[in-house]
Amino acid sequence: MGTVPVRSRHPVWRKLGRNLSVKTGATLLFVLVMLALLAPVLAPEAPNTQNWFNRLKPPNPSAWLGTDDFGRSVLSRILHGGRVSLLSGVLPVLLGAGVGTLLGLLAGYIGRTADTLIMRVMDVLLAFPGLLLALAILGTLGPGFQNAVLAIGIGLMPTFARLVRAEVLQVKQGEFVEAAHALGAPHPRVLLRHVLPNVASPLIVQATVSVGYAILAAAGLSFLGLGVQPPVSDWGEMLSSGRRFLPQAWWLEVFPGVMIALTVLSINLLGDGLRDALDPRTK
Amino acid sequence: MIRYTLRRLLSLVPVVFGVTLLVFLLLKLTPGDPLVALLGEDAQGMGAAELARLRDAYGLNDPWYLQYGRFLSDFITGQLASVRTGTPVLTEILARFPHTLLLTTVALAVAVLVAVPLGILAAVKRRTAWDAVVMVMVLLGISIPSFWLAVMLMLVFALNLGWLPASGSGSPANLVLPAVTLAFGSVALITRMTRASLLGTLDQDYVRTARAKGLPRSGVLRHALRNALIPVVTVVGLEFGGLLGGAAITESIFAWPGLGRLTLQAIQTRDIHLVQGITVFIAVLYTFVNLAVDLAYAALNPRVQYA
Repeated sequence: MGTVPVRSRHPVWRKLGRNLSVKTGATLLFVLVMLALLAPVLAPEAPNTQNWFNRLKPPNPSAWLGTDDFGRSVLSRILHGGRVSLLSGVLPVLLGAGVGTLLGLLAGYIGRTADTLIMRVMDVLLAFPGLLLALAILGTLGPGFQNAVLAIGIGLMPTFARLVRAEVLQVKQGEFVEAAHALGAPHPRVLLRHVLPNVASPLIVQATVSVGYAILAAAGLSFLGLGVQPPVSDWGEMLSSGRRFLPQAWWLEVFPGVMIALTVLSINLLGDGLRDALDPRTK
Repeated sequence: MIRYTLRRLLSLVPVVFGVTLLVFLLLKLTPGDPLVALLGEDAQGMGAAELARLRDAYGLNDPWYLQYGRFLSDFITGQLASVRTGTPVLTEILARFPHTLLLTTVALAVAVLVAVPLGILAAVKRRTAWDAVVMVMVLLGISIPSFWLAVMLMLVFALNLGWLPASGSGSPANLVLPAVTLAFGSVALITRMTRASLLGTLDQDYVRTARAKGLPRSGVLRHALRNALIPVVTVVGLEFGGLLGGAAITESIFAWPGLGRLTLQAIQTRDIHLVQGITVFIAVLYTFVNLAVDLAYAALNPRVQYA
């Protein structure tokens, strides 16, 4: 019998596999994402099917999570709303991390005027605490899902730009970067093939944590009526429209909130675990 | 220290300039006619002559830099007026600001009183059940949406138990629910920082020396805390600045008459001048609070060099 070659796993994967925080967060997140993806299959009815004889019914065997003021199934709306909520967590991070990383790379790599100019603009964006910038953008551009994604994404940009710039300043001193230059590699190649992979770890951690933040922010904006507009719904919008029926219809407020909290919790667990596993400074 | 302070103050000039420019440009970047954006639904019933007159009155025919200059000087001199009510924007802001300041201060005081002891407990009892419980609370604190917490608190303590008023202002009881809501997220952040900072300090050589000399546990802790709390002061300061601008949702849920609620009212009525005014006010205030935090850090920490 011949020996079976054993492919040894990369130490980072081994570390991640052992990390309880990563395992719990990833499992929970996987379940939540699957629930959202399979919403059309799992939901007992379409999210906007109204039933006027079944208005504001508490959880019962035929409507597990109760019904809302239009007689719509809260379970169906939560499953479908999850798609919008998860998307509103990912899209702003793609925007903010994409543009922010590019700006950080350029600022750190080119230096001088480009650095000063880019980082001063980022300082200005950082001068708006919390949701203020998003509120100002939505207050002038008007409400809506697209504008909310844009507003949250712009708010995330400076964090990524600063992070990447700081890492690039260190990495570009490395001998491997010098070697790439000496071998005649053009700047874009050095940036993308040699510098970027070396700033990836903190970037991944930051992006993960930011998805949690973006979900909270987007839900908050929807709660204020500035995000998705009915009949499209996300968990924040569900909380907003259910508030009028307190204290009787508590199920309209409890379940969507639990879903937001579970999702953000899973992402934070994952983020904390990734930081432990990927950051060489935390042993 | 004075030179350092002056230098830091000077460095704020481009930031403040940038903030005002960005807020001004937002309106310029709005697709469509800025006059229609300003007037909102009022524009629909107006004739071309009336619109032209208003366009002139708002100076929208001037080059953008002249408009920006006027926006700045109008704001500072208190002439920038609400598009809807005609009240000067600065007057409205200053009338609401004390409410936000009160709410923020109380919330942060509660947060510090809860979070610092929790953080110390978690660090001292590292890797015990105490530590685990505190860390789970921290995770929940950063994961639970504040607006949902607000609604849940209102449901339980105001609507079901009737212990506290659900909304409004005027009595100390009105302050409890919004302050607890705001404090909740800050407790998580400050606890985490206190724990991490104290753990870092307890590993330092000077603490080990103190222990080796036979100093009792409480003495060692007092020794370590002096340094461990410096970064905590920074986080508390940053949270203070953040809460000043971040209380919008909480204020609107509890109908607390602060700046945050005014922002949302301005957005709902499309009162763009008011939105612009509040945004500039909070951003500039936040910038100065951050500077104060930096200076406090430098003053507290002898290792910072005023280069």
